[in-house]
Amino acid sequence: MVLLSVEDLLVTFGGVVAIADLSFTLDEGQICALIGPNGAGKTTLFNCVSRLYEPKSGRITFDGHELLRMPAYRIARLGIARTFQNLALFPALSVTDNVLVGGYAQGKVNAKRRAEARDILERLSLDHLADRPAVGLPYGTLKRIEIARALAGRPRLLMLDEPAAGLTHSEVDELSELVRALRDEFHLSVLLVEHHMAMVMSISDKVVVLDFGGKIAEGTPEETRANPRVVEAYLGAPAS
Amino acid sequence: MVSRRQTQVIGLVMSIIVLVLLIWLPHHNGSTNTLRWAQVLYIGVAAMGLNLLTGYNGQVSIGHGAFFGVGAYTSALLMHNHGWSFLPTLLVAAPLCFLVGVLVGFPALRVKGLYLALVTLGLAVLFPDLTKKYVHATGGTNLVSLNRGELSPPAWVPTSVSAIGRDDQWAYYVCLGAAVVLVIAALLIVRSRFGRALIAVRDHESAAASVGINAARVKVMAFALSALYAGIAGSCSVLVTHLANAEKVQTFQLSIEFLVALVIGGTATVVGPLLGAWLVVTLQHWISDTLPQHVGSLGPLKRVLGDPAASPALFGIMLILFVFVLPDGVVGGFRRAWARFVRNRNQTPHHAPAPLAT
Ligand SMILES: Nc1ncnc2c1ncn2[C@@H]1O[C@H](COP(=O)(O)OP(=O)(O)OP(=O)(O)O)[C@@H](O)[C@H]1O
Ligand SMILES: [Mg+2]
Repeated sequence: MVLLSVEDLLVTFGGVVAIADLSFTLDEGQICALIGPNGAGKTTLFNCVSRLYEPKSGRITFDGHELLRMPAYRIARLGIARTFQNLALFPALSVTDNVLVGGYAQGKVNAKRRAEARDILERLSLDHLADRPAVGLPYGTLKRIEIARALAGRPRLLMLDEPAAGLTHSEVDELSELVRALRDEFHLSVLLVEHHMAMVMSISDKVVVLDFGGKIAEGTPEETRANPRVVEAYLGAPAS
Repeated sequence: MVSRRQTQVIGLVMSIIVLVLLIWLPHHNGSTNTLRWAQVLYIGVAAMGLNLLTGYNGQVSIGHGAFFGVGAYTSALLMHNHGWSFLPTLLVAAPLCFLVGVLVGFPALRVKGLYLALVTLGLAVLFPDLTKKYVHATGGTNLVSLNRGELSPPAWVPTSVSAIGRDDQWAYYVCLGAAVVLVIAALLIVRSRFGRALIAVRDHESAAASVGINAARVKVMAFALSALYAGIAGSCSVLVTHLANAEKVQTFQLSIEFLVALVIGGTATVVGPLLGAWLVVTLQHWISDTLPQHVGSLGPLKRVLGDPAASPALFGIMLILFVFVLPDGVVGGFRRAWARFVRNRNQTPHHAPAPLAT
């Protein structure tokens, strides 16, 4: 079943076309990677789904809802959560409070919510930091806290913007495992933006490749890896 | 080992001690001092309100003197023209200020940072003109002056402190009551779901939106609540100063005082604004009343310090020094000292700190 569908999306900033006529779909339960060189428009797509950027035209539907008709704060309630490429935690709040805010759309905070937040922290091995402010912790930890915050929203779709950036090799391996495990445990679909190819290729069910805002390839990891246009975009061969 | 729980208990015990001292205070003080403490309390209340907006939600206002004025005028006019006693006027003033806060909060959504500061400054400039246009009190001016009869406390109020006037004692305890209720309210607010939303919107608006927080609504609500605090402070001030007035300089100066109290006390802390208010009022009193009495013995400094321009200048210099020494306010400085104390206590060989990194 198609969960998220992007149709003919066009996003421009002044004269710059950030996303050009992009269409793709993500199925329920899938891990779909969105890759492409710097400036390809990956984060811009996230920001359109989050309703932080206003596309010129096109449609985004999630589980039958027209996202482009809603304000940004309604998106979480539909079951979409995300992390940010540049950390976007609330530094003054404790780690627990960050996670509680992540569940804001669930309504009143009661004992059950708090227990859920504790479980999520435990699942991500963050429980020993629960009362610490979210400022001044190691980078990898902060990125995990962001994932914890996103999970607290009980999402059906989790969007991760470069979760592996800045992590060490072994941390990246752990992260790959984690994303796959979380997908199964929390019944998620995942939209993953990532430059780390080993991670993308090992955990994705589907890969969508962007270049200059347009889709240049789509398919299984094996198919995309073999696609000459993808190789060209990544190796920076002169455009014909 | 000092745990979080112990820190909380210490905080609670200290609050109770302070509260008992404040209740007892008029027995020790004369009328003048009691009223000065009442002033500390109402300025503290206004600063607490500004804190909800500026400290917790990141919207800077230098126009809160206007909300304060709305509260003061509402109470003063109801008492003066309609013979109300003070307490019921709060039931009108508080919702009215809340409403005015909503009305100001909506257009404020369009501007941020310095521009917002300028817009709110406009509020402080505009308010005196509005009162001049619509309020016709003493001699046709906008000054509403209340007489003893209008200010007298309701009959059920006992005279517990005979040494000072019944009115002054009433004024003080009303201010204390308002401060206590509003401190508790602030504590509940900042620890609630809404309080976390205030901070989330301040720290990262897009991330706040992505978890489902309606930033616009939170910001307008912050304005309204903080206007309510400032308005109640204004209402209380009428009991202390026996008047409601709005001159341009005065409204602006009040706005700045709230901000100063907030900054030197500690932004985004619950008791900071009250401490800051105490410092502001005490410093000003010391500079304008105490210091001149001793100027005679200062020799060559006499001419400099005797100058009327000297007291605002001195106040400014002290503020600058203060901000240099305690950049995060009294509460921030205290917290750092306390954290160091706790760390030292906990870092005895028997209690090695738990590893922090994973
Ligand atoms: N807020 C903005 N204002 C102006 N231009 C923008 C804005 N956001 C993105 N762009 C432009 O849109 C294009 C796509 O940017 P985007 O951030 O989506 O790339 P990306 O694929 O996420 O790249 P990276 O891998 O470096 O994160 C770039 O040319 C960028 O400069
Ligand atoms: Mg990006």
